[in-house]
Parts: sequence; C-alpha cells; structure tokens
Amino acid sequence: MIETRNLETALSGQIPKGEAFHPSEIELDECAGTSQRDDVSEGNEMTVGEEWQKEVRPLTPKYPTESDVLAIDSTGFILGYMSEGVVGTLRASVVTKRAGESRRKLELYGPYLIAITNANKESIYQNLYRTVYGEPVVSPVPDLANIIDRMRNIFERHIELEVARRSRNSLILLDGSLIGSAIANPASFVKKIINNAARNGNSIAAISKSTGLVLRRSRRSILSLLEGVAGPCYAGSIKNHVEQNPERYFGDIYVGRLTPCGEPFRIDLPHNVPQPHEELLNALSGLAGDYGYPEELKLAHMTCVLSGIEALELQAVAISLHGLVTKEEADIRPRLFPL
Amino acid sequence: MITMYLLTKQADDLWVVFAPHETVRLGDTLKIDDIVAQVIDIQFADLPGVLQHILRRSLIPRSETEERIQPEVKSVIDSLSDQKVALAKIRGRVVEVDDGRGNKTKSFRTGISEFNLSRAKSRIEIMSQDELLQALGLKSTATSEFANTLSTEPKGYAIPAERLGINLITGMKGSGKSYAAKKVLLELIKRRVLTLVFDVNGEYLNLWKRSENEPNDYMNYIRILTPHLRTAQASELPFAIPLNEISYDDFAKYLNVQEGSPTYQHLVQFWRQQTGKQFDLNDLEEYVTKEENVQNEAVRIALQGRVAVAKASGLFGPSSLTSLIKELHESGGAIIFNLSRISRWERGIIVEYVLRKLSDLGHSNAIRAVSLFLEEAQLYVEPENMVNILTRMRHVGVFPTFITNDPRTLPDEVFTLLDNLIAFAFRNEDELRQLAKSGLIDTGTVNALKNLENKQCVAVGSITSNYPIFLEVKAQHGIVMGGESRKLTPG
Repeated sequence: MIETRNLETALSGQIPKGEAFHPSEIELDECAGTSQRDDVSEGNEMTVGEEWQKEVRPLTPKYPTESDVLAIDSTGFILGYMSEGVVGTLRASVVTKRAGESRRKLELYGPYLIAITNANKESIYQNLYRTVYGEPVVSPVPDLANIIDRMRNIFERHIELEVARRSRNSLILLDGSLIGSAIANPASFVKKIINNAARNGNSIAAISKSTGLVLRRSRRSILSLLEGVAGPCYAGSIKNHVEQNPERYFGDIYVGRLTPCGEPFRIDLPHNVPQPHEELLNALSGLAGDYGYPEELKLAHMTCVLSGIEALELQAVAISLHGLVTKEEADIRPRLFPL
Repeated sequence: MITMYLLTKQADDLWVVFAPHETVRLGDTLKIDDIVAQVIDIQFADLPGVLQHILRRSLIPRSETEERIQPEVKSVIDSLSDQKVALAKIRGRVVEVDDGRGNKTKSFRTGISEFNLSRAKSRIEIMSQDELLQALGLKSTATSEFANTLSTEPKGYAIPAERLGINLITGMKGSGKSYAAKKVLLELIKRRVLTLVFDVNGEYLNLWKRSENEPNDYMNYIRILTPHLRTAQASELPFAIPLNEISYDDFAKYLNVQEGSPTYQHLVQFWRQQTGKQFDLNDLEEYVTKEENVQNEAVRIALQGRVAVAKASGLFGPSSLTSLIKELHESGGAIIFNLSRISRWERGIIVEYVLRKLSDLGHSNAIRAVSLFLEEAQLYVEPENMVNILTRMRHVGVFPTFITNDPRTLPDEVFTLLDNLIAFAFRNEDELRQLAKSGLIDTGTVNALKNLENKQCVAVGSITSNYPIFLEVKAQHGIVMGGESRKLTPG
C-alpha cells in the first residue's frame, strides 16, 4: 500500500460542532461520485488543425503477458452542504494484474471525509497541495463547488506518482490525459510522474472517454476521426496539430478504437516509454473489454466510485464525526404534493 | 442502548429495523411502547441498490483487496447494507393491573384493539425475560434445570408441571425432542409424579444410570418393565400380562389361532368358564389337557401346543404392575415399558393392558393422577384408542404426553385438545402445517421452527400462559440420556 498518512493529515480539518447540514440527495440504486477530467473541466475548447494527412492505422490486439498492468482511478463526491461549506469524500483505486496471472489485486485508498468551510478551505487546500506537489498554490483556491474535485485530482496525482515509483517494467493505465499547467496540475508534477515511470521501465497510457480537443473546421471532437473506419484502429499522433498551447500536452495524442465495436478514446502516450507507441496501442487493444475500454481501468473506476449505500453511510459518519445537525427542508409540501 | 425503528405493520406482524451492531435474537420479545411482539424471523433490510453495491464489492475478491481507510469511516462502512429487519409477531400488550389492595403489577393481555404506535417516536426495546415471565405469571429461575429462554439475555425456565395436560413434544429426528421429553420426565419425578412411558426405541432404559456401571439418584424411582425377561436385573424387571387380563381373541391372535376354528371355540369356552375368576396359563393347560373339555384329540393337541408356546414366550404370567403403580404413585417415579424388542402385536396388547389397568385404578380412585408418555404412539395405539386416551382417560387422571417426530401420524383430535406444545426443529412444510392445527401457535411462529438449532424449541400452551417461548434445553449431567442406539462404525 502507498503511504498516505501525510495526505490524511492534510485532508483533516475541524469545523465547529452544530453546523446545519443539508445532505446531498442520493439515489440508492445509483453510484455517487465523479472523476471529471482536467482537459474537459479546465480548458477551453482547443482546436486541432486539419492540414495533415489523416491516416488511420489498424491495431493488432496483443495481450501483454510479460508485464504487470496497473490502473488508477479516483472519485470525489460532495456528501452535503453547510451554510458556508461542504462535506466531501475522496477515494482512489489501484488495480493490479501481475504478469502471467489472471487474478487482480485491489488497493483502495479511502473513502476520506473532508469538511471544508470558507474559513478553513485555504489552509486545507494549501496543505494538500504542498504535501503532494511540494510547492505552494500559485493559482486561487477553488470555490466550494469545485474544491472537492480539485482535491481529488491532487490526491490522484499523488497515487499516480507513487505507483510510477514503485512499479517496474509495467503498463500503467491512467484515466484522463497527460496535460500539465492546469489549475490543480502543475506541469512539473506531471513530468515527474512520466519521468519516474520511464526510469523504472514503465509505460504510461492515459485514456480519456471525452476530450475538449476539436477539429478546427468541422468543430467536431477529435474522436470523430475514426468514424466510418471498421475494426480496431488508431489515428495520430495529433499533438503537433493542437493550435493552442501544445506545450501543455506531455506525449503524443492518439485517437484509438481498441475493439471492433468499441467506443473511440483519446489516448495520451509519453515520448519516453520503453516501447514503440504502436506496440503499446496494440497492448491496450489486447486489454480492452466491454465498450473497448481496458478492463483494469474499468475495474479501477467501478471500485472507486461510491455506491448509493456507501454515500449514505458516509453522510452518517460525517454527521456524527463533525457534530452536524441535519435540517429538514423548510417546506416539503411541494415535494410531496407537486400538483 | 438499543436503537430500533419501526418500519411497518402487516396484519399482526411488525417489521423492525435495527443496526448490525445490535443484538436481536429469534425468540426475543420486543416492547414497542406497551405493545408486545415476539421476533420470529430476522432478515436483511432489503435496500434499493444493495445488489449493485454487493456486485461492485465482489468484482475483486476480499482476499485480494487491501484498504486504507479512516478509522471513523471503517466502523460505519458496510453497516447500511448489513441493516437487519426483525419480523415480530404482535402477541398483545403489557398493562398495569391493580390487585385491589393498591398494588400495581404488570400483566400480559393478548390482542390489540388500538394501534397508536409511531414510527418516529415509539420506543422500541428488548423486553427483559424477567419482565416477560413475570407478566405471564411464570417463574424465572436461574436454577431451572430444564431450559434457558432463547433470547438476548437468556433466563432459566422451569416447566410448571402442574400445568401439564395433554402435551405434544415433537420435532424431526435428532432435533432434541426425546432429550427434552426425558428432562420433563425427570422434572415430574422430582415433583413426585408417576409417569408411565411406552418406550418403543429403548430410549429411556438408562435414565437410572450415572454412567455405564453406576446408578444415579433416580435409581429408586425408575423401573423398567421388559417383556420376555426371565429374571430381574438392577432396575429392570420382567413384565408379564396375567392371562385373565386379556381376551380370548387377543390370545388367539397372538398364537395364530384362526377365528371360528374348533381350537378358537375352545378358547372362547375356557374364557367364559373363567369369567370373574383369576386364571393363568396353568389353568388353561389343565383345561385343554382334560379329555372331557376337549374331546377331539387333534384339537386338544393343537391347544396344548399353543399353551406350550405361550408359556415359553414368557409374556403371560402374574403381574406386579398394580402394586408397582401404587408404590411409585406415592413417591413419584417412572415405569418404563420397554417395547423395543417385541412384535407389533405384543406392543398393542401390552399397551392396551396397561391403559386398562390405569383406567381401572383411576376409576377406583386408587391413583389420583399419573402422567403417560407415548413415544411414537402410532406404532402401538389405534387412532380410536388415541382419542379414548385424550378424552376418557383424562377424567380418570391420566395426562398423556405424545412424543413423535412426525405429527402427521397423530389424529386431529390430539391437536384440537392439546394443552401444551413443545416443538423442535422441522424442515418439512407438511409437518409444520400440521402443528399449526393446534391453534396454540400461529403459522409465522411455526415457520420459525425451520431456523431452530439442535435442542432449541418453542414451548406454548398452559405451561407458558399461551405465549410462545423459545427455549434451549439444557444439558443434563449425571444421567445417561442416550438409549440403546448403536453406531455403524466401531469406536
């Protein structure tokens, strides 16, 4: 397990007892929590020039039997609101499939409870940021509506770095993209993850279900590049055609469909991986399961999101731990009798 | 502090939600304000999304999962999916009654005509067994040797022997019913009650022993009567039926004499001649040997042969049963009729003889009351005789206890007239339905029998003030409770 005690300390914050608390509505038969990605949430629409030869190449699925496969994902969820704060929770998953084995191991970090008010958000965010990135926050501290997701992002980066450090000759799958310079994503830290991985012979692949990169003329997502092409295939790299701040992107950007009937994904691969990108894409194709998404990454996602039941339990812990007082809706009649 | 919440009410069932850290057991009595309800089943609370939650948790086996989790969170996570629902049958309410001298006591009343419970405000707690037993007018005693109540805080429960009437002890094979029956028997002996036991399986034969070679304190109070036994051995005595106590028809059947044959006619004649007199096999032998009585030589030889067989069987002869009954009726004790190694016909004739004897003694007021244990009665009592035992014999002071592993073998009258039921585990629906016929116990509670473990039972009837009490029969020390059963393998 990765050492997270410093993070836990950084995340803990005291709030006065007796705060009024409005729990978030939870559907018990639905999952709670999001893992929204940076390039969608932080960037404006980025355009990709189309003055290049759009060649789509076929993929030959090759299941990676010689290396470990690791997948990392995290989730953040606002459990409820106080008059001047929120109570949220974070959880991260690391799924590992050892070379030559079919069983998978799971490391779960969290759920951690975070109570943030306008009074303590500065210090909690600063603490977490400095603990993970080793430098002070340069941009403004996010507002309460976004702070849990920002903290989730920082938390996930920490896990990613530690996995890159401890793994050897492995394929490390990340959910998202290799983008730096975002608010909660210092470029230096993303580089650090990539370089640590490369030093240990690891290959990183960041896979994203959606992207803010659009083709300049058609204004359509780059994922549309594979439309009309049958079978597992990929296009790219298109990094050199990104027209705004291409230096933010670390590695090459591909669009790939990993299974014959799968969805297209954006796939970021660093330059310094120990194998050719095409081989790596073939390996990803070999790992892909339902919807053309790598099985380990799917498991990491499914195990880190909170079930409705877990979210409800965490609300109960939050209320008890922080001495919160739940408030009934002022007038529930409109909800009970909407007509 | 127990925190439970009322979920809903359906007919006379209450559904109560409780957290996994709370201990609620089958048989516990819940007090919801003043309403008394008994837990007859415990299930998981069926939450929406729980299947999805479990399926997600099962994606990677627990053995392959490591977690780093906040301690405060750890204690609560998974608690919601482990929430339980207790199905509690409403039994009645506890009311305060004034004894007329200003003393107020709590008493139990069946039924509820009002339903004032609140999901939000009603206080739900597990009623202490002391309080329950007191409200039921039953004694709670730590020294009870019979059983402990099956509840979160078990208490000793002593069978109030004075409340035993027509009783049924039942349960599937190996559930502990015979063990419990023996414990009831020992309790009756202590209460100076005489019990006659028809023991078809040789289950009661060692009750007088502490170990294989050592008698216990009950030795002087237990007599085993074994047919065909030549000489007395310790507590085991030979049992014989006086010839004059059976009919010529019984005798003819036993010796395979065809009805209406000349041989049969002579038996009829002999019995008629002896009407009102004491007679035995010697008298019959003398009768059949005389030529003036039986002129046909072939018939005479046939009859002499039958008499010789009867003598050799050892089944007929003088009996000390009357004096034994009278003696043990004074001191309390048990007479065990060992029916384990005799034919069905012999069982029938012995049982009929004993019942007739009891009836006579009861009618003549030679005995006040005796208890009668009938193990697997269907093996030796005809249904009409069972009804006779239930109806007529009660008036002469015979209190029957039926012990069976299949209640369907008993006539419906047993269930209609039953005063007490002690039911052990059953799995078979037919048998459970049969028990519900008694009217002493509802179907929901009967179904709870499926979940009982060995030696656990539900007792209901006069002995429990008609409140079903879940019990666990205590182990009996210092007495060989096992019968004659043998194991297939040595050692």
